[in-house]
Amino acid sequence: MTEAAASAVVEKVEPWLSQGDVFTSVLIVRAGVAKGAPVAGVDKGPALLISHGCAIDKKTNSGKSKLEYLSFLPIQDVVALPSERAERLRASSGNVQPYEAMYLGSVPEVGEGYVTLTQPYTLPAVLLRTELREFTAEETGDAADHRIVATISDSRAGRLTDEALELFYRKWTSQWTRRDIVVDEPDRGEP
Amino acid sequence: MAIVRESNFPASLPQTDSDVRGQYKLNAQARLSGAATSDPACNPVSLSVPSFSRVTHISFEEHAPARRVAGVQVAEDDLDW
Repeated sequence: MTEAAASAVVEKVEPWLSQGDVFTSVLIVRAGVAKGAPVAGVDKGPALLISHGCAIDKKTNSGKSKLEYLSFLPIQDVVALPSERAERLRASSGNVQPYEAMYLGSVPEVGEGYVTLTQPYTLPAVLLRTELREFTAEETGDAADHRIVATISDSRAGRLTDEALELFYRKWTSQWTRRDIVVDEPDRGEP
Repeated sequence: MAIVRESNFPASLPQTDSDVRGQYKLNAQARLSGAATSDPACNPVSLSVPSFSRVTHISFEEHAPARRVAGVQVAEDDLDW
């Protein structure tokens, strides 16, 4: 039996909401068919926050939050996959392919998980009763800033590392545009 | 545990009294999705399985590799629309 690879989710969660935050229990919106008729359902389960940090912290000129929605990908159980597919997914850890799935390894408080990039969904931010809160330069590790926090239903257990987020960006653009974008370094100084 | 509600959508999908035909259709959809079996966890239209336990088909056979292009970091989007 293959051990779950070390998780890409190794960083502790920050007090503020960030892209790549792992929620252990959040609403998941689903659609399906039952007895031949369309049904809508809500579920609670683990999910990855995919809204960009700049969009989360966006403010009006007067300094009020403009955040209305947060987007997520459901986290799913690797062990539930047929064994051959589970092995192939584990072996893909760190690779851009397959574009549509990202292996997360053993996720704290969740289990061995993966996300499918073709299944994003969006929730109103008010469900987490988000609000701007001031953080010092020491707390942010950058400049003092107002950032968004969840004041209820904050079930976050970790956050993707910067390296894992970079891989997520490459998978996202590859899946949805079939372009793998290599970003120029801003200080390269080339014409 | 999934909370599944009947929606207000019109019941426009083909139905039979026994729903046998509907089950055949769901099984076929599950097979087409690449799932190994057609049990509820593998069925992409069934809401009877909790989200975490669902089985999703993942395509490992990418015949169209992504084209590598250079890009630049975009500026923060401050445009109100």
